[in-house]
Amino acid sequence: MLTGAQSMCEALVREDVRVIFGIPGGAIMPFYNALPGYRDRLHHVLCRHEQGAGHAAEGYARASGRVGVCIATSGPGATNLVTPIADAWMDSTPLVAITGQVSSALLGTDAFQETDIMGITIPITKHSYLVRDAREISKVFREAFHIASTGRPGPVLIDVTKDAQQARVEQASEDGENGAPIALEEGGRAPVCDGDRAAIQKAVALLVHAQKPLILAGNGVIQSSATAELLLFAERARIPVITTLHGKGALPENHPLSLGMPGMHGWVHVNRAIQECDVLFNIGGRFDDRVTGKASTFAPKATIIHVDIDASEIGKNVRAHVGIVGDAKRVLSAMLEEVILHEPRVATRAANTEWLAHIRELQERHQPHQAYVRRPNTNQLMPHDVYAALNRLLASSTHDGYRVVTDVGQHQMWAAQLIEWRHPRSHITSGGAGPMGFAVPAALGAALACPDETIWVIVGDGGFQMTNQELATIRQENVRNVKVCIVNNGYLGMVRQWQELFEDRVYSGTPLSGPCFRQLAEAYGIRGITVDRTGDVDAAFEYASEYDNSVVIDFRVEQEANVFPIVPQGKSIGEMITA
Amino acid sequence: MTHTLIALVRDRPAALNRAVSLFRRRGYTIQQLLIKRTEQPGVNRITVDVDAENIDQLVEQLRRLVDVLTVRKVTGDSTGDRSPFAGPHYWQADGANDHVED
Repeated sequence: MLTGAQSMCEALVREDVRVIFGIPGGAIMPFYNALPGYRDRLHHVLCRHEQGAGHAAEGYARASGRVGVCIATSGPGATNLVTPIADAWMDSTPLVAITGQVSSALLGTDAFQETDIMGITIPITKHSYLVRDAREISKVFREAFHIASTGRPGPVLIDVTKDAQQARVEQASEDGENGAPIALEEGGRAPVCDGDRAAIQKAVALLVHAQKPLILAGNGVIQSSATAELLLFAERARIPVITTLHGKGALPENHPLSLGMPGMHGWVHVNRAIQECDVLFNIGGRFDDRVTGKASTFAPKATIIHVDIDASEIGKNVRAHVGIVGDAKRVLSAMLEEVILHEPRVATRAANTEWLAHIRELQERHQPHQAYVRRPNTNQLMPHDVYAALNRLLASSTHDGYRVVTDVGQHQMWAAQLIEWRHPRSHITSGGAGPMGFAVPAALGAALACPDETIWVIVGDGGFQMTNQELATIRQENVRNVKVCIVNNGYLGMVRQWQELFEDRVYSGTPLSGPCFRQLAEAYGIRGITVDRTGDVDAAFEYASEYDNSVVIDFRVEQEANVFPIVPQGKSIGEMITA
Repeated sequence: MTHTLIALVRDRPAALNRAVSLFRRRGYTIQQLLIKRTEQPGVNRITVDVDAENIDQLVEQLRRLVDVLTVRKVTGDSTGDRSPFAGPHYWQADGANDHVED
């Protein structure tokens, strides 16, 4: 006989969960009572806020590719998980969120700390469960992990009443205890993985006959570990590749076919390439509005091929001439087989070479004149100095095994632009939902997933002040590989930039003071450094890199630096402001 | 325009909630809604008339709900087949959703 709480722990062990992030409370206490019995198999990380626990689980998932798990009590504990659940939903991050719920007899009575968390999260979860019967726990957990991690990954909520956690259950034979797998009801959503062969053949024919083909690689390529297939396909078909924010690392950015990032803060030559291309092949991206700008003017000359594991994405924002529902890895493998049949044609064609040369020429013409490269002639520490130094450090051969976790805002876009991304899952950021405060807890999760790597955090002073209490968790867990770089400009910088460019410099609600971050870090027992001179940046990074523990560096940068290029919201990506 | 959708869903407390939540989010109003047990145990049939602009995408979003087994659009195009039981696994790995425009 097990309790429901023990059954929850057994299920987590069965799913090969090793780390869970959470905070206890009344309605989840039976689970926490059972947890010490699994101390050797389940490592619980006590976070300082449930939002931090959720983002930490996301960071763990994004770094490792495994399902992240967070746990909270009912009511406010559960509602504090809403932001990370929404974030996981938008960015297709596999996440299982477990919440305690008041006892079933109290459900619906406005009991203390009772909140209908399942109702609240229905629009932002792949699926959710309210478990009132302890006998269901084992099966529900099996289903939840399966749903979270298959097809298009995403968050699943499991709300377990306190009495279900306390009840005693026989382990049923279908619980997997005797080795028998639990039968899963796939319902209507068994993911389609292979893609339709005729559509794949059509897509390849379009691409090899194109004069100006372009590949747009998104999160799906990373999620399905299709980077090798993408590289082979792009090289075989000789097609240049652009990568979305979440596609960064799908193709190394030092590869001759890699062009960079499109969209609102994309390069001029990349957005021009989109507007000029005749066939656009989107593999695993969802045509987010930050990529497309005004969708009706996006890629006006292109035949669009869209591959996505989620059928509802095909044609959602941009019309697809060829839509293929399938897993990026499997579809790319099939396309690779097909493209080999066209090999003689591909090899003898000069069009692709001319096309790539044309884009590179655009790049040469625009890039030197753009503010993102042109550092102002000033003694003031610029954000660009921070990125240049980190980029040098990451590129150095002695520095392997790293992740870079960014928050949301200007610093995030500079990181996307100015760091040369080379490895899948090395770039961990929040894209779709954009919750400030993501970075520090997500880095905690990534650090536990990758204990032998260095986790660089780039965060603004605004986002840092939303979740910096997780420094206490980092300290308590003795996490030694998190290096936090605060790009501190004393503003909510991206909003200030929009106010400067589009709202007559009315800096409403954006000037931001803060504590001394060096002292704050030291108060948490973490080494803090302040850097306010350009000449000290490299030394600070060297120190942080060598120092055998977590560090916080406060880079006090020019306050009103802007992210360029920028496409004003709602405008065509052909209309870029470059300085 | 008004479309009629027929969905087979699992007999679970939140199944209807999940489906209509999608309509609400898109700002589509429901003109008529019927949910009824089928002869198949554990399966309910939802018949809904909804004013929607982008019905095809809505159908795909319905199909990805775990509690939704099948969705058929019976007006608005030439789908024609009114039998909700014509294919209990309508949405399956046969590339049915793939399409090619010439």
